[in-house]
Amino acid sequence: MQKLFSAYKQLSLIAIVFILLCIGGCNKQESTVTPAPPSNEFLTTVELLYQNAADATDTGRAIWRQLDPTGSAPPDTSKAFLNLKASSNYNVQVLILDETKTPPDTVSIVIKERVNYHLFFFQPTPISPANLVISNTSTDIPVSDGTFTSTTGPYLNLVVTRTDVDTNNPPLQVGLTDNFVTGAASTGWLRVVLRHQPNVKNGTFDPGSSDLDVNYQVTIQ
Amino acid sequence: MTKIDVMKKLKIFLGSIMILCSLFSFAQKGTSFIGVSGGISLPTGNWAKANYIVSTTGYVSDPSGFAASGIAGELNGAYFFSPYFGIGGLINYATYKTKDINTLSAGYRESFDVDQVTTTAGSYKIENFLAGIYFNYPVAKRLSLTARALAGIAHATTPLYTVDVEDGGIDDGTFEQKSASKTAFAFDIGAGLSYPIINTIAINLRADYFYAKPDFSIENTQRQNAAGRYVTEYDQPLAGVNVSLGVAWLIIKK
Repeated sequence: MQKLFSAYKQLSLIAIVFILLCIGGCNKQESTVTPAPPSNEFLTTVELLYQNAADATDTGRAIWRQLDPTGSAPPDTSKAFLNLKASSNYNVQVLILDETKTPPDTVSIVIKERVNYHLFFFQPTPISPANLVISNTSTDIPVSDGTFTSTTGPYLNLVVTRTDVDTNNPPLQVGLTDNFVTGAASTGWLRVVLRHQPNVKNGTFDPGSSDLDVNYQVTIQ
Repeated sequence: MTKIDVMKKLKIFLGSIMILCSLFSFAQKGTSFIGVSGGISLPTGNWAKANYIVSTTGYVSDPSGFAASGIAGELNGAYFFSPYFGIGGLINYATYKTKDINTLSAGYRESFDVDQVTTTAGSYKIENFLAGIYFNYPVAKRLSLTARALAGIAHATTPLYTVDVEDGGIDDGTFEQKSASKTAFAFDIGAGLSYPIINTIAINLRADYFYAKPDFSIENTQRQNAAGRYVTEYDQPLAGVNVSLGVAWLIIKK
């Protein structure tokens, strides 16, 4: 009887240890932080290649360039000009390069591979508050994100629409290719911002962070 | 696998056991037992794989289950109606942490091209309720070869994965692959050695192959953009080998 009791005790002890081990093994979560490896890719150059839809000879290339990856030196804006004809329709392509490489690396190819969470915004200024449209299909940038509106003008008569979409469901616009429609002769600025919106892209400006933010002078004549 | 399929397999299995019982019902009885055991559980197949998945242009479903070696424990017992054969069953619980979580996390980071991803993963959990045939054959004075073939149901649960995305100093939110549970037909076959240390207690060392194939439907939350690993169904076998050490209380002495 004593031997049986001893056996019971041994078995109970083992069972308790086993149960405690099981409980200890349950419900523990694994967690890891994965940082990006050091990047050697820079967005040094943003080019807007434009062609008049009604006149194939009316083309241009506006270039914004910042070859100093630290950003401490001012950008080269000597070619950051768009000269557009009044009352015209232009097909525009955005080309992004890394000119620290030889030959230059075409970063816009990488953007195209990652369109599902990238979105370009184009903000012509000066613009009237009435013409600033904030929606998930508009290229305009909210006032809270740096757009200055003017109630007096004169305004830059330029309307930008994106012409490409991503593979999200439903598809969202991208902005690597665009349509610029000009109105009457005017001058102003065009701010181009590329938003990186990983898993938060919804067509609006606010989610995510900016991969680039550059300005071009615009003349419509 | 439908409930009808599970029931059909269980009926066939239990029917086979009853036929065997009747064959041996007049023979001399062996040693029945109740025991507990625990050990390591080694997942196999796609369930144990940890593929590095990068997709920037759309969702990618992936069969790899990221199941690490786990721990398993069971309570089992058998009634021996002949010198060599008995019927019995077990209740088993096993848990498997997520392995190579860095691979999973790096895949999400690269898919979204962000500065940092923080991935948290829970565990697989499997509970088995099995019944079937036990076999015991003495190979030395005190040492016995044991074997069993069991079938029944397994209730399995997949891990919860939580992925937090951060880029440009901004937290872009957290998405989740939710935990899912499913009950399915399961079986276990294995063999081992049993050595009685005293008249009423034996030590058992055994290895068992287990198999279940639940077809999980998995919910994902906050997946706004089509990129990266995205699993909405997981129908890979949850199979592997349990290597366990245990003790058994020998109820009927020969």
